[in-house]
Amino acid sequence: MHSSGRMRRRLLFDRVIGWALLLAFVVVLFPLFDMLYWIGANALPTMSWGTLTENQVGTGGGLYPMIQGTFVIIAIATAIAAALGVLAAFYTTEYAPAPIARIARIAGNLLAGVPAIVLGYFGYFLLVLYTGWGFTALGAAVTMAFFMIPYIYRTTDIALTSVPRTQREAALAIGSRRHQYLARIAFRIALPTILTGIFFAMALGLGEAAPILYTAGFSSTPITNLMQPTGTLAVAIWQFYDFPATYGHFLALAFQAAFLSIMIVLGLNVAVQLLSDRYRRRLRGLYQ
Amino acid sequence: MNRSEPERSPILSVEQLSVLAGERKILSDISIEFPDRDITAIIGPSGCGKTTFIRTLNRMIETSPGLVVQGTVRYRGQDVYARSVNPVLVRQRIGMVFQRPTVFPLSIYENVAFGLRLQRTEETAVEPVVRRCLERAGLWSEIGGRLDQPALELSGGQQQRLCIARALAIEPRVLLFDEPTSSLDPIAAQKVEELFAELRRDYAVIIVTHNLPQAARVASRTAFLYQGRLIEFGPTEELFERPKERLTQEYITGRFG
Repeated sequence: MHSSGRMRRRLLFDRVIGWALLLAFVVVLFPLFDMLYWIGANALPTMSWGTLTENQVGTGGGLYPMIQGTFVIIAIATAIAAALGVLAAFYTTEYAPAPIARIARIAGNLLAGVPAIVLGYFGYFLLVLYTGWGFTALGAAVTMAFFMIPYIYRTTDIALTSVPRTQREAALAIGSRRHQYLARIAFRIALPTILTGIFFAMALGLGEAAPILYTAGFSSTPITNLMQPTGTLAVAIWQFYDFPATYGHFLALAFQAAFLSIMIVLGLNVAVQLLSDRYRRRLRGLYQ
Repeated sequence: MNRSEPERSPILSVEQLSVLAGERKILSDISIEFPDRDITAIIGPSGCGKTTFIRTLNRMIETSPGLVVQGTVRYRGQDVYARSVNPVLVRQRIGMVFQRPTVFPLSIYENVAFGLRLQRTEETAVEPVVRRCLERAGLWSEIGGRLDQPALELSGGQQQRLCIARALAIEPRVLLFDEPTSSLDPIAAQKVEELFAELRRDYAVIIVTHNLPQAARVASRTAFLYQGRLIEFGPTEELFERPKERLTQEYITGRFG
């Protein structure tokens, strides 16, 4: 029958689309899993407890100094970037006159597009040479903060502008000042999204070597204060991967550093999911 | 003066109020007085400026950019648009409840306490106010036992009455309602409507509605707005039964709107 032929064609089309989507899904995920396997296979056999606790000595030892440096630099950078990014977004959505808000949003996107290495070079001139500090963890943290700010700023801005208008109206109508509305209502509603933005910025920052190489240099001993050259995992990968194959242990350290970076990102991801789910639960029913 | 008489000194008086959006006049030359401890309804077809009008009374209109207000609004004789007057204080005196319930993503208790917290009221003073306001909004018997529960879990009608309780907590003198029952089911709407009889004893209540029977049931005076103009204002019974203007007559008999 004429119509059943058309129907059969449609069903076939449905099935083809289904397979095509599955194929796209596999093509996207395959490299990820392949890479995870490759890194895991190269890192795990040589890993031990010492990888986390020992200093790197000669071609042996562990990655403790770089783990410490990564946590110190990312923690300080996150504190600076979260404070500035969130406050700047508050200003943009609530206080800035429309033309200034528009310019600020464009500037935020622009900053997000600045290559990390350019930011690193800028940090090198300003925080290494101009200040006379030399290579320091603090200089790297400040540079990294400016790498992270645009992501936090943009997500916070989006989170705040998608707070239902009616919440703002209701808060103002009951005699809230704008900062009271921001602190008590808007921040609470935007928080899960802001956390996701902060996490995203941290994950990106963890993977960046260039801005840190230029500002913290590298060190294979743990730091005792913020004004010393400092190693991080991302820089360790860059440092150790480039040796000839005869230095087998250096290569193993590079893979271990890569593996640890991925594990830290995974851990952060889980933590942020749990946290933002918890805060999101209080908002159930808000968008109905 | 005889206290049962509806003519009392006005708590709010509006003189030659206009609102402009660029070249366009959204409201033109409105003059009207609202008595204390009484209910006034504002009716009119969609887009006639009802909502814009009540938003001028507590300066909420200033939160939407691009609108210019001309004329005066006096609260107990004082011009609320005077330079020295803080809009925050105006809104503490003149409360507002919106068309859709707008509870905050906080507990029931914190919703009612919200306005008091803004004023840094002592904690010991907050609790009795929360209880009294929930009682006045007819909610205490329903939810008095679960004040820590998220307010967003309440039904739509309960949320709207919670918004009323929240507005009452900062002790306003005037309450503005913008279509307070239009998003509610009939039973929930009736419960809100029953509150009005109670509220009129202590507050000047102004209700925007396009539910004409509701205006007839609750309001002692009614104003009819059409295309940004005040067409007619008078005792509700007169306006509905013997309207002076042809437009009013046509509107209440359902010929347009």
